[in-house]
Amino acid sequence: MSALERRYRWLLAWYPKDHRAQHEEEMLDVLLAASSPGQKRPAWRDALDVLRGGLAIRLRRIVPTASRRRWRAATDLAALLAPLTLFGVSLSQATAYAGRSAFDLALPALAHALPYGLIALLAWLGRRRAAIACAWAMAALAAGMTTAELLSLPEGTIVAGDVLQVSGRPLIAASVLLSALPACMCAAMLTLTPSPGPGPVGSRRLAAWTGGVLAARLVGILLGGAFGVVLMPAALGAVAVMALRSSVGRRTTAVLTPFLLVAVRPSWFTDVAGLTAIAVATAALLGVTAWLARTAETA
Amino acid sequence: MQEPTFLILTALAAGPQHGYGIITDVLQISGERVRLRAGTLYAALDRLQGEQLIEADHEEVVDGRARRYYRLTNEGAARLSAEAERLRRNADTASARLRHGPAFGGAS
Repeated sequence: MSALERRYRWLLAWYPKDHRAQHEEEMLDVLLAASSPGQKRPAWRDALDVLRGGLAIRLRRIVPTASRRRWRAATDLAALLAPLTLFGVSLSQATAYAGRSAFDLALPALAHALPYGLIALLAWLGRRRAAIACAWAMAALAAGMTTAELLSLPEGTIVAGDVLQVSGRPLIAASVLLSALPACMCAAMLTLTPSPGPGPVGSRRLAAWTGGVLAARLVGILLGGAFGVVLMPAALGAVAVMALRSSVGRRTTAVLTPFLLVAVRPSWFTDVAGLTAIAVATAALLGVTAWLARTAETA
Repeated sequence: MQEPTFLILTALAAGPQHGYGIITDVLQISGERVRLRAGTLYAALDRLQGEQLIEADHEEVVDGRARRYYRLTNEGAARLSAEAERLRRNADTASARLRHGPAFGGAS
C-alpha cells in the first residue's frame, strides 16, 4: 500500500460504515486514478472534498430528502406568514382604535400595518428580493424610530407603553432590540428561505384562511362582548387544527413559533436575558431549517 | 436541477459508467469546465441512488480492485429528459429574443 493510498484510506474512514463497505474501494480507485504519478499526499482541496462528501452523506442519512422538501415548503410558507401576521396585528390595533373613535392613534397603527401588507404581497407574488429589501428597511426604521423616541426622553423617565418598561438608560438597548425584533425575524425568514410563497398550500386556500382569520379578528373587535372574544380564537383554532394535521403544517408551526411569541407576546421579552435567549433560539432554529430547506434539491 | 447533477445524469445517458469514467466524461461534456472531485461525485451518486434516478449496474475487477458501474434508471432518464426540455425552451426563448429584439452591437 502506497503512502498516498494509506492517507486516502484514513480520510475515507470518516464515511458511514455501510457506505464504506459498498464504495470505499471504488472511491480509492477514483482518487488514485486522479492523482499524479509519484504523489505522496492528497492535495488539500481533494482532501477537503472527500471530507465534505462524507459529511453530506452522513447528513442525508439523518434527514432524508423527502423530509427536507417538506422543510422547504414550511420555511417558504412561514416567511410569507410572518409579514402577514405583523400586518394583521397592526391592522387589528388600528381597527380597535378606530372602533373607539381614537383616530389620532388609529392612523399611525394603520401606517405601521401597510408596509407589512406590502412585504407580504411582494413575497406572495414571488418578488423575493423586493420583499427582503422592504423587510430589512422596515426593521431598520422600527429600530431607528424607537431609538429617536427614547433619546428624546429625559434621563430617569419611566415609560409604560404597550410593551416597554424603560427606566433610565440601561434598558434602552433592550427596548430598541425588542421593537425591531419582529421585523428582523420577518426579514431573516424571507432572506434565509429559498423561495417564499404559499407553496403546496396554494394561493387560493391561503387567501381563504388569511381572509377568514382577519375577518374574524376585525369583526370580533368591532362587535366586542363575549361573541367578539370567541370569534378570533375559533377562527385561529380551526386553521391550527388544519395545519397540525399535515406534516408541512406542523413544520411551518415549528418555524413560526419564536416569531409568533415575539410578535404576539412581546411583554415576555422585555429584559436583556429574555431577548438574548429568544434571539439565539430563533437564529439556531431558522439557521437549521433554512439549511434543510436549501439542501432539498427540487425536482 | 443543479448543473453537476445534470452532467452526471447526461454522462450516464450514453450507457453505464464507473466513477472515474463519469469524471472524465463530465469534464469532456462540459468543455473542461466542470472537474468533479471524488467526494462530490460519490455524495451525488449516493443522493441520486437514494432518489432512484440511478442504480448500480455491474462490477469489473481491475488491478484487484472492484469497479462498480452505474446506469440511469427509467425515472432518471425521464427526469433528465424533462430537464433537457426545460433548458432547451429557455435557450430557444433567449435566442429568439436576441434575434428579434433591438440590435446589439458586434456580430449579428
